[in-house]
Amino acid sequence: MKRIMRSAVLASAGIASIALGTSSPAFAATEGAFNGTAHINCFGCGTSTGTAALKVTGAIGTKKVIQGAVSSSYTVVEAKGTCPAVGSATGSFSGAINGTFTWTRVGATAVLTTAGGIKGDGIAAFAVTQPKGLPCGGPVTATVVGSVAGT
Amino acid sequence: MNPATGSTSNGVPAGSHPAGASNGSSTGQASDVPGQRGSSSYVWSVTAHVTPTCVVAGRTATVTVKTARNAALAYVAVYAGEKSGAAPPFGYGYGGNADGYSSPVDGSWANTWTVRADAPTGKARVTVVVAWHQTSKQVDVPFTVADPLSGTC
Repeated sequence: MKRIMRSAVLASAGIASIALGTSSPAFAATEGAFNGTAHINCFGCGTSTGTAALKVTGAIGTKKVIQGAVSSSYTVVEAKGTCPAVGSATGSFSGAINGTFTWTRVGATAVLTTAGGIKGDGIAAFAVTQPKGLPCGGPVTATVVGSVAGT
Repeated sequence: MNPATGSTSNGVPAGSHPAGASNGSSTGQASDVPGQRGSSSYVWSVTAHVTPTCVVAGRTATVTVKTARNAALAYVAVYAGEKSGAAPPFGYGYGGNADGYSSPVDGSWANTWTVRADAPTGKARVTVVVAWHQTSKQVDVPFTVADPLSGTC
């Protein structure tokens, strides 16, 4: 049940999750999964901002089932002038579930923490859809897939 | 063939390491301190190894992580010249980028990848990031890519 949050939070980083095949947590009373599209206004430009549109499914504890759309906005920090291996972001999400998150991107994958409607940790994978070629130094759009396990 | 080992650093938030900097340790000692990114009263640690420490381009390497149970984690291999091994466009596709959750039984996790035959030779590292209970930690584990002709590091 921890898979819910993944999709909502990470969609923004321009990641290709499907190709990477992110896994789900082995257990959790609270979990969620997410997928969608994420956008960063300028990737590899130091500090930038972005938004994501996600679909989220999951459960909180043993009762509350969540399913629906989530929108997210965030601030990313990616080294300027390079295509860095690692970056980070902080932001918030609202809709079917509300909360805040952080992510640390490593390559096309990311590790995230969430608070608010779902308090947990998760993973996500990004697949860049725009631009073609290296995404550094400009706007990036990507699909994202992920999961979150409650803690 | 001894594994390179990295462990969590005290007070270094994930994602904040300067390029090329490594807080990996050859001692294998884990520091049982909370990460600085996020706040949590939970005390946990991360230890990671890369085997072999000298890998010939074209062959496989394995990263092994030991951390809290059911923690979220991901890693990427970064080769000489700060070239990410992630698939394009996030990297050069030399290999070494995956995510998952540590074992709910003992907190272990491992992944094996093939170092592409044309990967840059020389010093490289694996950056592992782990999140658990609203904190995240990063470990950088050094390894070396050997020339496929000489096979030595």
